Amino acid sequence: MNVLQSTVGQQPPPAMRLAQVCHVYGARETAVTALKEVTWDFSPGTFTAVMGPSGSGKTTFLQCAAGLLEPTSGSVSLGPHQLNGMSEKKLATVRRELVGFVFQAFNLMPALTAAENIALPLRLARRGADQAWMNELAKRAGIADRLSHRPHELSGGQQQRVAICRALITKPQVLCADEPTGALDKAASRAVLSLLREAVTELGQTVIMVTHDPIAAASADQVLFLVDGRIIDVMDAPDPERVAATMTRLAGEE
Amino acid sequence: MLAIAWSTLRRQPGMLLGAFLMIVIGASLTSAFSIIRHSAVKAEAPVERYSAVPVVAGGTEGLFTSDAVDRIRRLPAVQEVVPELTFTAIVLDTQGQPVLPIAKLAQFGHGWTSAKLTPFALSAGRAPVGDDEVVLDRELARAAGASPGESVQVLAAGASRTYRLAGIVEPDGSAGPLAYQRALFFTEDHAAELAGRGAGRVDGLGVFVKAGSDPAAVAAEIRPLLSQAIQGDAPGPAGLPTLQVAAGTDRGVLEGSLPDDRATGQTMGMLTAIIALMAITVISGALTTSIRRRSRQFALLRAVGATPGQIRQLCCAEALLLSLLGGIIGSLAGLGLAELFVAALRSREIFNPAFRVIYNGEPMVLALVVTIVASQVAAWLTARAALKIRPAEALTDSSAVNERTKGRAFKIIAGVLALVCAGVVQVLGMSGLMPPALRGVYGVLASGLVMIGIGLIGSWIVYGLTYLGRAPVAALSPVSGYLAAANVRFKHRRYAGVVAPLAVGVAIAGWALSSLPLYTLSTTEEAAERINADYILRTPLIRETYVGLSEDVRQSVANIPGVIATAGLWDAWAQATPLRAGQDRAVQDTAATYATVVTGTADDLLDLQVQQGKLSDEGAAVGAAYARQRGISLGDQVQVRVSGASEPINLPVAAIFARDKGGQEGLVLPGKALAGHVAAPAYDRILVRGGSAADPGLYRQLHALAGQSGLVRVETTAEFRQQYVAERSAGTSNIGILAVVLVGGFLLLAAVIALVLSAADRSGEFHSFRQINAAPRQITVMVVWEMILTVVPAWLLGVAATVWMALLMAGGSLEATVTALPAGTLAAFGLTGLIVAVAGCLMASRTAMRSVNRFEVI
Repeated sequence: MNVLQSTVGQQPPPAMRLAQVCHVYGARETAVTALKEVTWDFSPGTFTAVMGPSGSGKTTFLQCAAGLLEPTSGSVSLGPHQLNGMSEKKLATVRRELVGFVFQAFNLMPALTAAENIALPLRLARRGADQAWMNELAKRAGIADRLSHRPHELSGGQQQRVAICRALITKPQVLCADEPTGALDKAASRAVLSLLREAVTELGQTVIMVTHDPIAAASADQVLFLVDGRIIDVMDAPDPERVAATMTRLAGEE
Repeated sequence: MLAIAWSTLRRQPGMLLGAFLMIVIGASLTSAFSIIRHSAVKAEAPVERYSAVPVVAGGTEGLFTSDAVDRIRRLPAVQEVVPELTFTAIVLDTQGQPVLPIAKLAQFGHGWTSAKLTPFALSAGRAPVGDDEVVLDRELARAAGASPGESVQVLAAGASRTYRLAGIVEPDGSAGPLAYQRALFFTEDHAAELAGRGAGRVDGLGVFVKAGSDPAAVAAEIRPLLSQAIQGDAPGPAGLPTLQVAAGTDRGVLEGSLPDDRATGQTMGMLTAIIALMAITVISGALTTSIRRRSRQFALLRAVGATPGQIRQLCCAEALLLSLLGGIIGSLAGLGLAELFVAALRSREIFNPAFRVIYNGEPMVLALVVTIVASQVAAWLTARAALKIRPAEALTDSSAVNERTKGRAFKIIAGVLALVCAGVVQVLGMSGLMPPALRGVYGVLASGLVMIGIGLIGSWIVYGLTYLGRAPVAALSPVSGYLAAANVRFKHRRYAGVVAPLAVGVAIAGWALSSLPLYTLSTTEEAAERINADYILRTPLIRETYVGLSEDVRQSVANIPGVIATAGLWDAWAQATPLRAGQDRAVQDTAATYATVVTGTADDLLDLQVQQGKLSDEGAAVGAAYARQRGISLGDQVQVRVSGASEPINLPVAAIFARDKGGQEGLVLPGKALAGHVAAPAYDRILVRGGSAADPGLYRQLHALAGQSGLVRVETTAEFRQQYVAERSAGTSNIGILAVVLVGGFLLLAAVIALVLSAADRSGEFHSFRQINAAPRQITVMVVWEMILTVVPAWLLGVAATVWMALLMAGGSLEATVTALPAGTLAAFGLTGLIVAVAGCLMASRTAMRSVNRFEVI
């Protein structure tokens, strides 16, 4: 594990750090351990993909990182903030300020227009809408002309791009994406991935993305492979073939 | 948050439509009933008969002695005091039938000098001078077809006499005929004789004040003086005070021409409370459903950074918008509903013809406040529950959302406790052991507790029943039935919103419909049980009162050959307190009981199940339960107070008897001992014992005495029981039925909306079924089975609650319970509920299935 850890650059302080994180679902005889003492630092301005077979704990990993789920043990820190033991209210504030979250199912508020959905985190934080930033995000996402539409009037790809804009509107420290392309076709997936890539390279965002898709994973800077709740492999500068091969190998080992 | 709530409300009205509808309906019903209650409480009878006199004193019949009249006369501000007698006197035609419908319009006899209270002035003929002369108002004279000098037949206090029409009167000035009463005038002496109040007593006083005196001030001065004259008064537990002194618009109620709506006001108060309670239940249910089904949306908001406080705010803001909008619409709609309802009640003679809806903001504001508070509390509590689910759990897979079962034991215990308490309250209330302050409301209390109980454990009971029904249903329908049973059991909370209103609706309807006949049955059975006579003479119940039979009638009956004994009975509120040695005044308190005052042979004609002593003219008979409550035993001296008595009467206790309805009818007093202390009103009934029970001659003679008018009836004990039950139920059941229809409809609607909402929620689930190749028909059949498995157990629960409440009210008598059970209505409720639920759900699930692929539904 230490060897793996050392491959990440040590100079800048990590945007996010998971230390000895365990998570157990249920209790007593029905208990399922989803994460086993996972430790990882995410450097700022990097794009990390998290892969693994079903049930490997990818989503739990992401939700613990995003503060949506409290680890059973271990600690999660976002920059200077230690998330463990925070009250739900404080946690909500930290999430709002420092984490953006993108879901497989888009999860836009059906009653709000695209623009209102994007501005929602700002509204929740009682901050005024940053119109210039919103316009820039919308332009980069290619949805500038769809802002007054409500979610059901948008295609899946457009909805997901609105969701990414919503996650970026607060300029968060980390953007967490859970299978963002899982419900999209090839072309829409490509648009979403390039938007995430752009967020990293041009806006300096830190992005963590859970995915099943080797092609999606290949657009990241590095790929973490999770099996049975542990990080068992890391791949830098991934390409689809190598990722697929590793996945096949991991599946075989199971 | 308000802005997000507003956009949800504006752009996704469907999400909140159910809750909104329930709020509108709940608010409008609460507002309507509250308006009617307010109108009934504030109702003022029109001033007609007392138009000309500024201050009027009145109350129970024959309340004022000549002594009291003199005392008022001596007051410096008083110009003149006109004694007033008011007794029912009915003009008959040559066939012995009333010339005007007596049920609609009062016909009162008065003494001639009191004509100036209106004032009535002669338009033809002259004033009455002899005992055989009468003056009629123009409408009566016209209906009788009589002119001055001709003869007319008048029935008063059970006896019909022939009079010469001396003159015809009309209200002076342009007022026209009185709208709600007709007047007959006799000479002073003859009026007193017909009224039979005894010893110069009168029913009311018209007080003319000197110029420059303030009527209200004079009324205030008179009141204590008159109160002193009724030292022996025993106030009833509720309703009309014994003595009233009124000036201005309050005078109308003392005319007695219209049944007093204030008692109805109390009933409406009770109904308003029940309806408000149900509105609260239903509104909270609808809001809970609307919030619960969006737990995913709330989880999402939290994932993008909403704090728990903001979610609570959002729920409360949404509820506020909904309840404000729905509450205002509902409160306003309540006005129209109140008008419709009052019109219906008026046409059924439950409200008097003068009853008007009084427009006032207070009840509408009340309805609005009830709505807003109920929805705020519901929203806050549901939001709290929704927040217990971690956003990650809610987001990953909504079907895996684990409903917490922590509160389960608590809810079941609380629910069972509420049901047990309801039983205890009901039993205490029925047996008269309730503290006086709660006596009037124990019915509401008990039904409220039953509703809370069902609300808490209803879904668990349905869960249990479904568990039992699973095997047979799966056998009947291996695919859809099996799935439906599994669904209902797994998602039984989803159906809780349906189960509770449905079961409570059935229980409420059953309770109202069965308690009325049971109540009248129990009171009338008691009344009949206490009678041990061959024949009973009585007058029918007209406009809520008995016309009454005079002592003269009793004497005439006694004089019929073959009659061995007679007894005249009237009832009054009374109170008995034991006098201890060395204590000449008993402690006064408010525990009143209903007393039967008997003139004649009580011992032979009443069957009170005397336990100790013997009924006698010299002493009081005290019911066993009442004696226990008051610490009275045989041989004690008791101080007896009777409604309207001039002073307390000391009597020995001559007998202790068993049939006192748990102390509610705890005294039987000898009329002889009361004479002089209290006015002798007409008898409600006269009991007759014949020499040989089946003497046809006696029966014929009694009939001849009663006449053809139908206003005096001769009945055997069995006939009396039957007629009396019918009369009493006819007089009481209408308001209950009307209310029940409304309440039942309300709850049925609530249930259906909740069901439809739950079905509309399930597109994802249906989609999964389609994916595993379930035919749409199978899904449809499954939904139908789910409805059957929800509605039938809920209905059974309601029926069980009804049977239980009825059994309690019937004092454990299974036979009475079965006869009183409104089987037809209960069946209709169940059937309608099932049909509407199935239809609504099929529609909703069709829509849900169709929308599966159209766009994402959260």
